[in-house]
Amino acid sequence: MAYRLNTPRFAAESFDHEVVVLDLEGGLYYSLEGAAAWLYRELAAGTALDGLIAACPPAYARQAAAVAQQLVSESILTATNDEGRAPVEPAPEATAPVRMTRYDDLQLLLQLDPVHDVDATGWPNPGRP
Amino acid sequence: LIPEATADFAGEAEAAFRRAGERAGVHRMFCRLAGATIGFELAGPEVRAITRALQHLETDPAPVDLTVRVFDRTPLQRPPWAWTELRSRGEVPIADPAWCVSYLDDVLSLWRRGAPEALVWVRDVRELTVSQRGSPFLHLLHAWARARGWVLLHAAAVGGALIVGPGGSGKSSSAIAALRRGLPYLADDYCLARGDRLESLYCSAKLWSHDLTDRADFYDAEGKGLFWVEPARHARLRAVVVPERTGEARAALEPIAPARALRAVAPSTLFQLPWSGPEIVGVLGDLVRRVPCYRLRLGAREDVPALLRELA
Repeated sequence: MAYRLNTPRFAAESFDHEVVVLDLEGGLYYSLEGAAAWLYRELAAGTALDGLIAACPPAYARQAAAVAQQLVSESILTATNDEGRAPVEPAPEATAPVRMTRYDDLQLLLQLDPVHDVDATGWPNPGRP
Repeated sequence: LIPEATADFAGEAEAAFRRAGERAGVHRMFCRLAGATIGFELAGPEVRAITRALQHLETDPAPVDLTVRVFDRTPLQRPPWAWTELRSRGEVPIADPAWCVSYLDDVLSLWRRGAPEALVWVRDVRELTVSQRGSPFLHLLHAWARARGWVLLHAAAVGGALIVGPGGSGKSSSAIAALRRGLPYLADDYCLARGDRLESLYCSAKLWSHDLTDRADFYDAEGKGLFWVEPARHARLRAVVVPERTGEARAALEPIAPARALRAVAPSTLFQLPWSGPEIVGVLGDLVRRVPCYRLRLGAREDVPALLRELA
């Protein structure tokens, strides 16, 4: 099965050793490092999941599968109807870290409900001076 | 929401502005920002207070690229949206993405992208908080600047050192410490960037009262103090700095990867501003790749200006 980034809800920026993903609706953000960054890049580009896991060194294949599952369960990646391509980038070496970190420290910025910050009467009350 | 209903509402709001102006008089002010001239039409003498944070941008009367009409204490007709339709960040969902309409903390902004005029309604200018006085028209200027190729950042700036991170991370206190040592202060909370150019947006500085060593120009009930300052207007981006509070005795700088800097600037910028799409994440990614990025380990405050001076 193949996937793509679930846009416009999510945005991602890829660096050499890390991918940063933002959930623009949920106020979460993620860091994918090492083999997790490679895994994300391949999946978001349309590589088939099965082929990707098969290409992983046994040392982290199980961890990589768990990261892929989290990418899907958190709706960062969404399934497509494509069969998916073969991996393009070679898998990182067996000692590479496979790290996905989820940050929720700024979620409050999005959860501030503007409705709660105005009068209970709703729209500006003409009688108010 | 259908765009026509929004246009009708904007037309009614414009008529309300004119009534307010006829009643209280209209003061005009011109500012130069992001390579353009903005003309403010302010209904009533008290409304002028909202532009204090833009005073350093003031210029002589000139043909304007955008007219912003501002008024308060004037009832508006009921808007064509329900409270339940307002999204976080105050964004009003309208079928036509050209409309930038937000309502947050008793400030309504109406602008149709590309239009030469915008409208800002405030419930009562006298009740604005320190944050609102120190950073007025934030939503409108964010949308307008983006349309001109600039991006509004949640960041402080001292010379070419862009200091990024969420609220409470040490941006303001670092920038104000540098200001007190005479470094070129551009911003403590928000500034504009385009490529490697930084531009000051507000001539304000905000600190919590427990951090104040000077008397502030304005305090609000939350305990924040507001100062008016004379910022530098422009700088060339030279470094991105991520402050980190530590219990260490000495402050220090250490290099970090650009991805770490993006994690500091992108969520706090995009999660608080409406109409922030994936495209802005790409712009911020380019920004942090452009220059070296550092972690600023905050120790003794008196060390911080010297470290920022090296980067500015």
